[in-house]
Amino acid sequence: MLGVLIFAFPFYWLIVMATTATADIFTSPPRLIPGLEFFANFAKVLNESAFATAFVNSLWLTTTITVIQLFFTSLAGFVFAKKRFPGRNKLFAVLLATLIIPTGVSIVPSYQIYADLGWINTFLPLIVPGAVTAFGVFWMRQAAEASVSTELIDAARMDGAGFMRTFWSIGLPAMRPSLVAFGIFQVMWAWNDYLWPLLVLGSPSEFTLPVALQQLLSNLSESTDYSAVMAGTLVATLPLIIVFFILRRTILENVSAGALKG
Amino acid sequence: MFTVKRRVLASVMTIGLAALALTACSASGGTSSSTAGSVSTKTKGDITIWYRPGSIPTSSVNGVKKAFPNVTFHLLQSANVDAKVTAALRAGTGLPDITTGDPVVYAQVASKFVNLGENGFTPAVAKTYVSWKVKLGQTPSGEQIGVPIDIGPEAFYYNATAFKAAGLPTDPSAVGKLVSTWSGYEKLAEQVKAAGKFACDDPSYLFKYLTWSKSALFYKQSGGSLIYNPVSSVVKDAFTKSMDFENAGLCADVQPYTTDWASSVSQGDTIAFINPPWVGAGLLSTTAPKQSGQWRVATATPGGYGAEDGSELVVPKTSANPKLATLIAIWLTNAANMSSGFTHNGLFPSTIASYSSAALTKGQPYFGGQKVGSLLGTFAEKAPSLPKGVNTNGIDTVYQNEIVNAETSKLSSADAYKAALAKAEAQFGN
Amino acid sequence: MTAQASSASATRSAKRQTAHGTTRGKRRLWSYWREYVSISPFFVLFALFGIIPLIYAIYLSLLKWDGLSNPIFVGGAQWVRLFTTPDVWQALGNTVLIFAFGQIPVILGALVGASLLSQPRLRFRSFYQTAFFLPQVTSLVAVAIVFQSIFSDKYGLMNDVLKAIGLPQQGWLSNSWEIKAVIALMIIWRGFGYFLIIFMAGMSSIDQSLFEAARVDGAGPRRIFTAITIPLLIPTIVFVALTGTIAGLQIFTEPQVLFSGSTSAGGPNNAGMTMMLLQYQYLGGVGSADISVQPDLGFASVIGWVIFILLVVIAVANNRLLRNSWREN
Repeated sequence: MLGVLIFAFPFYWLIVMATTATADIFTSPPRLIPGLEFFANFAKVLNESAFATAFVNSLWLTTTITVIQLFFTSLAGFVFAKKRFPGRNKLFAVLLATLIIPTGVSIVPSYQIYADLGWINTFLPLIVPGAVTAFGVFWMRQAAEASVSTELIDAARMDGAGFMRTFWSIGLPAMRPSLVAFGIFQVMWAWNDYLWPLLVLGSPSEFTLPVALQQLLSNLSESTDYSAVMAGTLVATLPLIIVFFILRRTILENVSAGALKG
Repeated sequence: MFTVKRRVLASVMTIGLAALALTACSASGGTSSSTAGSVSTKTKGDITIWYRPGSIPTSSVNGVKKAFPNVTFHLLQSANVDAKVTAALRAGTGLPDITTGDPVVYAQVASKFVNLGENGFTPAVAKTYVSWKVKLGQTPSGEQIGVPIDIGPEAFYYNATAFKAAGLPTDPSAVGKLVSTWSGYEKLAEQVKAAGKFACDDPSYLFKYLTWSKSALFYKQSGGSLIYNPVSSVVKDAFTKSMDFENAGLCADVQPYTTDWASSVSQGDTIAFINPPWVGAGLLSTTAPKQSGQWRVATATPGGYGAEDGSELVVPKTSANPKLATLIAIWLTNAANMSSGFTHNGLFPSTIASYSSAALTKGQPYFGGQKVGSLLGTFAEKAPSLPKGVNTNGIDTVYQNEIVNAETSKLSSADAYKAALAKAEAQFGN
Repeated sequence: MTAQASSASATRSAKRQTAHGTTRGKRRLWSYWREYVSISPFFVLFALFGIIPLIYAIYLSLLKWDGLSNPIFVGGAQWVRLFTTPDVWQALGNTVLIFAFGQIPVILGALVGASLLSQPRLRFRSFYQTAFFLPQVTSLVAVAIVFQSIFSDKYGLMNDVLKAIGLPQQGWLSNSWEIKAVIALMIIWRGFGYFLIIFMAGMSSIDQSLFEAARVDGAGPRRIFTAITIPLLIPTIVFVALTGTIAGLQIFTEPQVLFSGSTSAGGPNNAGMTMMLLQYQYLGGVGSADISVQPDLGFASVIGWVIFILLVVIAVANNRLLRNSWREN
C-alpha cells in the first residue's frame, strides 16, 4: 500500500533527523538515510534538559490520570447504560450537551480558578478537572450498552451481589475491549498534553515531556538543536508504541474473537 | 579549559567578596534587620526569585546563596513566568521578591512595583550598565522599575570564506567600511547576489534593524509620557528600504528559527545577515557547526548602530524587603556574572565593564578568533535609546508580517506600507 | 446544581436506607443514591471547572482588558467589534475550509480504512495499524519541524521532489490555498489513526456471523460494507461525527506549530489563521513570541463564544440523529 508509505514517511524522516547530526540535516540534496548519531544527539537531550525527570513525571502522571479516568467513566457509563433511575435520560442529555462547550473560551477563567485554589505549580490542574470527561462517559455507556449482558446482572443480583460487586465482576470484564481502547486514547492525550502543563507547571523538576522538549527548541534559549529535539521525541514516543503493541490485540484483533462468539 | 579556570576564579572572588562584606558588617556592629535603612550582603531575609530558564547567568543562580549567606532563597525557574506574574498581580498575592519581566509592560501598573531608584539602584549603579538599557527599565515618568540583564546589539555577520569566493573583502574592518552606509550594504548585497548568494536573510528583519537603530518604535517621548506615533518618516523609509531589498531579490526570504533559515545558512546560500547575537552567535553556530571559523562580524552596521532590548529584573511591591531585593537584583546582574553569562549562557551583557573583561575580549573560535564580544560591546554602547511602548512589539510584528505578505502577494512597496499602516491603526490605534 | 443537590441528598438518604430497607414498587428518589453517586463525579467537576469558568467568560466578554491593568467595562462593544474586525471573518472562513478539506475526508477515509483493515485474511495487519497509529503519539514539537522541513517554500523536501520530476514548485507555506492544503494534510495525517481505532473498536462489536452469512450469500466487499457494516456502525458514526466536528472546528495545533518560529502566527496573509488560533492571539499567545494584536481577554472571550454558538447550531441540527442513536440501543 502506497498510502501506508506516505503515512509512515514523516515519521521515517523524524528517525533520519534523530540519527543525524544537526549539521548534516539541512544539506542539499536532503539526506534520506538514517545516520549513526542517535546516541550523540540523545546525550545532548539529557544534558540540556531535565529529560529523565520529565520522563518519570510523564509516566506517573499519565498512569494516574488514566486510572482515575477509566474508573469513574466506566462506573458512570455502566450506571447510565444498565440502571434505571429517575432523570437518567435528562442527565445524560446534559452530559452530552457539555461536549460542545469549546475549551478555548475558558482558558483564562480556568487559570484564574487554579490560581485562586493555589494549584499553580502543582499537578492538580492536570489531574482533577479532567478526571471524568463527558467523552469518556459517553464512550463507556456505549460499551456497556453493547457488551454487558442484562441477564448476567440479574443473575448476580439473585446471588446477592451488591451494586459495586456487580459493576466490578460483571460490568468491567465485559467492557474490557472498550476500556483498553479508551485507555489508549487517554494515555495518548495525557502523554502529549502540552498547553496546560506549559501554563501551570513551574520548574523543570515538574515538567512533562512535551514541555521539556519544547524547551530544547525555545527561541529564548541560546540554541536550536533540531537533531536533539528529534532524538528526544523518538525516545518519548517509545512508551506509547510499546503500550499500543501490547494492547493492540485486545481492541483490534476482533476477527478471531468475533468468530468464536458467532 | 579557559572557561573552567574562569569559573573557579569567579567563585574564589565571590567568596572573597562575601568575606569582605562580613568584616564590613561586623565593623558596623551587628546584623541589620529588614526595616533598617541600609542593607548589605550580610542582611538576613527571605527572598523568592522567579526567572525564565536561560534568562539569567548560571553563575548568578549558583553564586547568590554564597554571596548572601544569611538570606534564605527560593529560586523558581519557569518557562511561563510572565503568565504567573500577571496572574499573581491580579490576585495581589503570591508574588516573588524578584522576577524577570518586561518593565515596558509592567509600567502600566507601575504602582505595583518597587521604585528601585529609592531602594539602592543609585546613579552610580546605573552607570555600570549601558544607559539606554537603564532607561528601558524606567516608566515614562522616570521611575526605575527594572534592573538590566542582557541586550541584543545588532551586527552584520558574514561568512568570510564565501565572501572571498565571491571576490569580496574578508577583513572585518574592510567589510565594515562597505556596510557602514545603507547604499554600501545594498551594493554589497548586489555583488553577493551576482555570485548566486544572499547577504540578507529576510527583509522583515532588515525592517526591524532599520527602525530600532533609529529609535523609531512607533512611540515618541513627550514630557512625562510616551505617545503613540504610528506615522513617521523613519518607519516609512525603513519599510521602503526593506521592500527595495526584497524587490531586487537581495534577500533569501528565510526567517530565523524556521527550517528554511537553517537550510539556507547551512547550505551556504545565505552568507551574511544583520541580527542580534542570539541569532548571529547562538542559532548560527548550532545550525551550521561545519562553518566554524569561517564567519566574521563586520566592524560597522549600515547608517549607525542598533540593539534589541533583552530582558530585565523587577521587584514587586509586595516584597517584604525591597532594599534587599534590589541589592540582590543588582548583584545577579553585576559585571562578573554577566561576563560569565556571555560565556556559558549566550547572554550578551549590558554591563559596560564586561566589554573589557576576559570573557568578551577573548577570540571566538567560531569567528576565526575574532574578538566578537568586545566588538559587539562597542555597538551596544553606541546604540540609541529605545522609546519602547506597550504595543511596540505588536506593531513591529504587524509591519514585519506585511513585508512577508508582500513577498507572497506581490504588492508594491507603497501598497504594502498602506496595508501595514491600516492594520496597525485598526489594531493599536485606540 | 442538580448533581450537587443529588449527591447531598444521597448522603442523607444513606442513613435512612439502612433503617427502612428498599421498598419494592414505587421507590423514593433517595433509594437510587448509589446510581447518583456513581455518576456525580462528572457533574460535580463540570460544575466547578466547566460552569464557573463559562459564567466568568460571559462577564469577560463585556470587558476590555489586557489582563494586567484595570479592566474597562464596555458592555456590548466587543460584540460590535466582531462585525468590524475582518480577521474574525477570515478566520471563520479558514476554519470551515480547513474543516472541509481535512476533518471530513479523514473521518470518511478512516471508516473505509477500518473496514479494509478488518478483513479477516489481511496480511501485515499489525504493520498497517502501527504505521497509522504513529502520528498520534508523536510530540507536536517534532511534528512541526518535520512538516516545516517537508513543505517549506525554499528548501522543503516536497519542492525538491517536484523539481526532480519536472513539476513547478509551490509556495506551500505562503500561498493561501496551499497553506490550507498543508494544514488539512496534517489533520489527516494526525487524525487518521485515531478515528481508525474508534471505528475498528466499533466494528469489533459487530457479530461476525453476519459477515459470514453475507459472504455465503455471495455479497461482495462493497455490498457488505454498505448493507451490514454501515448500518450496524451507526452509533459509532454519529459519535465520531459529533466529536469530530467539535474538534474539527477548534483546529488550533496544526497551524500553530506549522508557523512556529516565523513572525506571522497564521502564515502569510493569515491564510492559515483559524478561530482558535485567533483567540489564542488575543489571549496574549502564551509561549509564542510574536503577537500582532493587542491582548484583550474580552475580545478573546467573544471569539470563544462565536465558536460556541457555531457548535450549538451544528449540535442542534444533529440532535435528533444523536438522540435516536443512543435511545434505540
